[in-house]
Amino acid sequence: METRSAPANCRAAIAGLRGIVRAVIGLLVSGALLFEPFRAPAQGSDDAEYRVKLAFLYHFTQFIEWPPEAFSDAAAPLMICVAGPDPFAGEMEQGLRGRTTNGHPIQIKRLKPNDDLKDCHMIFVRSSERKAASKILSALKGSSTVTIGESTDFVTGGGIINLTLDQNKLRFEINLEAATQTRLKISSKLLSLAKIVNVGRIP
Amino acid sequence: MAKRTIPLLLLSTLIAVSPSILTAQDAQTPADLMNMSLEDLMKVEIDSVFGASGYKQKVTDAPASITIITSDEIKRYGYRTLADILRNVPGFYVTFDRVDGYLGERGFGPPGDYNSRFLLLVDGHRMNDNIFGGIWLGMDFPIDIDLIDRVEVIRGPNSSTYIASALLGVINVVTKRAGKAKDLVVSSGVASYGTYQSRLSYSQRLDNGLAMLFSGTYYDSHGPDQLYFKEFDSPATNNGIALNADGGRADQFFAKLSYDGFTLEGAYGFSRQHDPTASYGTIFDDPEERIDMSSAYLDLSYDHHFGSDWGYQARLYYDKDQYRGVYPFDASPDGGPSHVLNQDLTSGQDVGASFVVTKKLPLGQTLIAGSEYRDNFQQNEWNYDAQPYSLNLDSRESSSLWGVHIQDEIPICKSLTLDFGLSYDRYSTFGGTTNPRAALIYHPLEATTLKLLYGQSFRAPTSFETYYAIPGVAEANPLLKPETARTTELVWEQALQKSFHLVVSGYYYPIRGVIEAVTDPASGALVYQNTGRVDLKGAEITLKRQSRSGWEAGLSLSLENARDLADSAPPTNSPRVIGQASFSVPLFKRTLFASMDLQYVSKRGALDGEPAGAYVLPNFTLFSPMALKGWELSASVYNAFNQIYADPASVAHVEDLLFQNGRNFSLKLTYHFFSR
Repeated sequence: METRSAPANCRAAIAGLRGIVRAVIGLLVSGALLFEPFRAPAQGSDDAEYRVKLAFLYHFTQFIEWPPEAFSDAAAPLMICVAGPDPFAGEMEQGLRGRTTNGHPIQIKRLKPNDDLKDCHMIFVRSSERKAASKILSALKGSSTVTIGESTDFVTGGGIINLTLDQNKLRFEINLEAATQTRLKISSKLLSLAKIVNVGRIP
Repeated sequence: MAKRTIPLLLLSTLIAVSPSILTAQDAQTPADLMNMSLEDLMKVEIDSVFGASGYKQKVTDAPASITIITSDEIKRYGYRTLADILRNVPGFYVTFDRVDGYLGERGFGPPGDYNSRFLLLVDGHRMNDNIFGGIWLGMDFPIDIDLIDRVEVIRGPNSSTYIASALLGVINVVTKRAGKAKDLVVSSGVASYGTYQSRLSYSQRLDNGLAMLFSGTYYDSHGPDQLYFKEFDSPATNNGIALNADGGRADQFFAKLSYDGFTLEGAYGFSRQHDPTASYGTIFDDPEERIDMSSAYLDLSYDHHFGSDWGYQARLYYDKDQYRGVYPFDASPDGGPSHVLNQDLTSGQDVGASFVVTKKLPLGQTLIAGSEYRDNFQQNEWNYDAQPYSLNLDSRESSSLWGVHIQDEIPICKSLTLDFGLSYDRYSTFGGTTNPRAALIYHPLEATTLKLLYGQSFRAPTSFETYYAIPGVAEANPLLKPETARTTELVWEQALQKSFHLVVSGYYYPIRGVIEAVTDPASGALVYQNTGRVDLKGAEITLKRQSRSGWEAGLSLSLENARDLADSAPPTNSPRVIGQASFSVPLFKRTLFASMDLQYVSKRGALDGEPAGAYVLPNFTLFSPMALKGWELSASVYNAFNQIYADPASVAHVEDLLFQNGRNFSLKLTYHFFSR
């Protein structure tokens, strides 16, 4: 449901309400253990969703070829960066342990404000990062970073891959135009499973 | 004997189910998912709920307070019946009268109400029969519990989405789907009280997309050898001891075929349960007293989607439900024979069709519109005495109903959604009823959901309440109106660190025109009237954790404050406090799961006499999936500390309280033939 666009007049009100809710909830739960409002691993169903999404990201690394200069050496890690709250933190990312692509071990990290985006081979942009998304996409133009989003306007905004939910199953779209502007090679196998989006004709 | 309408050839072609490998809940670990191919990953269904809006959506987006129980939990905790599943749902409790289980929620659980205030669906097919409006939670529920993929429990009224009667909640049972690999399963169990159960299942999904699942189950239980009822403690009635009077047996068949959006599904169940309680004034300790139930349905549905923007579902269905109660009684006080077998029978059949359209509209709206028509072409009730024959009741009724409903999910802002629903149902019996529903769903933070829910719902008078009449015993009341509820609920769902999940809710449910049996002062007979007024208020808090390493824990506390407005006291069988706990831990690299579930239910008033005392029931299960190739093993002990406890009895009983089983055991072995 992350596809809705918010009418502008709501935003101020929502921001205010959000502050109040955050304060109230913080107060209510601070006595109780374990509360961390900014980086909460999602509950049951979201958890399942991101488990599958992480598996998709892993498979994408197997079907995409990065140019050799994207890695400092043959054993350098392949970095998956997460922009926004990291839904994979903890035991979920342990599933990546020992997995490689072309000899590069796969690592995952949450992007911090001062990180160099070009160190990321893949960036997963959370749906909550609507504002940051356009900055990230413009900063990465012409680089060899695969941008992956999870909201409908992600590929129309210049992202390469977008994960969508269709009848509760995960699907993905590929923006071929954005992909051809990079030096990435995307295998035909991956393209055959994707919904190809031609940005020029998106309504 | 109820007629077996499904031929035995079904048994020979048997039967069905692979563990449904294609939901993310079942695909155990992130590593498992990564080992799947991308094609298979694209078939994985992300855990979602179907029932609340009639279409699939994420739990936190659903306009209701929802609990989901998965097949994994059913195995880990050793649940044997729908009653076992539901008694672990936060705020729910189950009352037994040694024949049926009666579901209570939010402090409202009149003993003997046949659960007609809940709607039970199996894969979207309505299971409530058309005589009692009832649902059955034991072996009389025709689906084997091991065929269930998940159960979605949706609290509160849902009349605006389903035609007819979901006054207190909807229970949506989703059966397993056939996996890609063929799976032939034999499962056998033994349990205390001479109980044996076997299941044979077969499932497969062919390359052309045709998926099939067939299953058959046989169950037989001798029951406790002796049960003591103090109300009958006199030499004339065996000093209150009912000997070998609690046995039962059941047969269940299930078949499902699906191909390209079409699903054809059918089930048939027969169950017999002997009644040791001498209900309805029968002779105590007479092995003849028994209840036979059979229920069958056929359901053909077609799901079609045009892109992701719109889709529809069409459904055609047929149901047949029959009941026969055999009640031995002594007619000598009235100058008759000392042993008369009274037979009480019903037969209900219906056909119906429904059509639901889901369409995504501009501005992110989701619109659902639907209609349904049902023809209850048989709603018959009989009662007669055999030898000497005397016909007491011969009521042959039929009725029909249709309804339309519409629901729109409107995103007001990015994090605020309004869900609005409206339904109109028209019954040939009492007329029309219009019911609105609205929900505000607010995601102020990523991990926080607040829901404000309002709904209006009704329960139509059942055919039994309206037409069952025996001179001097029961009177018909064709003027009965529906019961109505206007419910308000506030829900706060919070994801916490380390996969903890907290749900807090508060609710207010005033129910009016509650249909109750009252005594007609003129004739002394019972007649159903819309006299009851009940207010349900309370709060529930649930804390759950599911870790990816496989252990899980849950804790919930419900504080109920139900009031019968007639006397400002709690209604019969209304606990003030319900506590539930569960804990499950994987051992030896997930080859063994040790699990515990526990229910605490506080004191509840009975119809007469002393209240039923509080009880604590801890149950323990060891479950081993595939410890040896293809084998699953499960061992359970229920009521582990041998708690002595009783449930309030209904108007049918001389007893005020009915004592329940003590510590008991079960052992189950399952083998998958084509396990790799």
